[in-house]
Amino acid sequence: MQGVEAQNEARWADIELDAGILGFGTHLGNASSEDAIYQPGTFGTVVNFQLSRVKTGKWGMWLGVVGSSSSNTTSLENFWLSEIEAIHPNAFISSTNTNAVTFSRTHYLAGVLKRKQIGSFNLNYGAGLGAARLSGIGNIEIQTKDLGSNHRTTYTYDYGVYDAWTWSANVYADLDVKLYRSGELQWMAFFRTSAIMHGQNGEMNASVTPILGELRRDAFTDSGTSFHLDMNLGIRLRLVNMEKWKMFRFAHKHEPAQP
Amino acid sequence: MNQRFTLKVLLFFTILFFGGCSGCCDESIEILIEASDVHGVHLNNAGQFPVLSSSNVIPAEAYVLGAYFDLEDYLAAKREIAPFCLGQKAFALSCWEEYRSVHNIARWDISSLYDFDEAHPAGTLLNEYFVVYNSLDINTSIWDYQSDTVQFALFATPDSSRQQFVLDIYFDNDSLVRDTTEVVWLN
Repeated sequence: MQGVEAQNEARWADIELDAGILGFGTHLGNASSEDAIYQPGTFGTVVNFQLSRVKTGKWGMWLGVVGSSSSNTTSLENFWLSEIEAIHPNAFISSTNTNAVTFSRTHYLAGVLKRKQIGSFNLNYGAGLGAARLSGIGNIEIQTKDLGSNHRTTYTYDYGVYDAWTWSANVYADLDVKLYRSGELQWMAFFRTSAIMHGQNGEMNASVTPILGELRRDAFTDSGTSFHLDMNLGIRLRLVNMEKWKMFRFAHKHEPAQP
Repeated sequence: MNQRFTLKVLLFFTILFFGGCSGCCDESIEILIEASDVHGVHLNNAGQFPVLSSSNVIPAEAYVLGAYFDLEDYLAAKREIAPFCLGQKAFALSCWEEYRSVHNIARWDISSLYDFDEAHPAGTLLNEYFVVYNSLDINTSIWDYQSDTVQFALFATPDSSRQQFVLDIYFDNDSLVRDTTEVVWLN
């Protein structure tokens, strides 16, 4: 046993490249949110890419990018429609044109992780810290038609473009299983669950035209920390025991010259 | 990479090649449309949408002059698409149709056979009182959306309620279609 442990100690860590391509995330909430309507939709798509250096039973390190996008177009539309209906109870909503109000977050993270073997599976868990870029875009146009006349009014809610950086942190756990191995290249499938949080979103202004007293709602401020839960299914490429790769490179480099 | 892995990669791209192209169209059809005549009708816009009025008495603030076109269309061309894609040819389903106008509408004029107000005696143009209601662009409305109707909404109240409008539509080849509506009472 001691010999095996000594052998494990001598082994180098594996390098892993993750591509989590099938994922979805949900917005859990905000630490202190002034206006719930700003919050991105309940669900959104998630992708993640990560480069890790880890050895079973030891702490390793990773660098990663997590990207997600979501839309709350429907909730925004319903919000504005209800406000317009309150002002024009006898008008018809003749048309609603929406360029989807979308939000996207890209997290750039680095951290530590640990891998444990459970039967034919590997359990990886880790935590990271970094920065997130938040962006949003979109506009909504709602047209009303008065009862009994040709008169129409068009309300435009233009959210412009929002772009800001803030801090970001996550904890995650994933379970992987071997799919295929070719020499020192090992293909794995993994399922990952990640809890991610980021700092204040800031403000996304909706410039409303025409400006009416009741409709002037020109800033949505999400003032607190946001929490998200993401799940991801992906492919992991593991370069097993990097020591051998180094030895190969070393041997190749010092190959005696052919006569 | 061993042979088994290479075979798997080849299988993946083969599926992508055939599966990805299935359901595509292998040719497009271009159809030309031409308006041969126009008919002016009275529409009542008091409700949610302008509807054909059942009577000739309509509130002035809800009056819409509807222009119905007689459209003639004929096949202009068939174009084959992507003949190199075996998968697409094998699994091609229906094709799309692309409509194109022969001549766009260059101008429209509305006048009345009766005095509208002091500034607009019978026969003078009333274009300033009418707005194309169902589209920002009159040509987009007809040719792109296959609508045979253009709606001109009235934004003025006449001094005399009895009106009979004359609608002239000019095309970019200088051709003209014209119609005179029935008498309407705008209250």
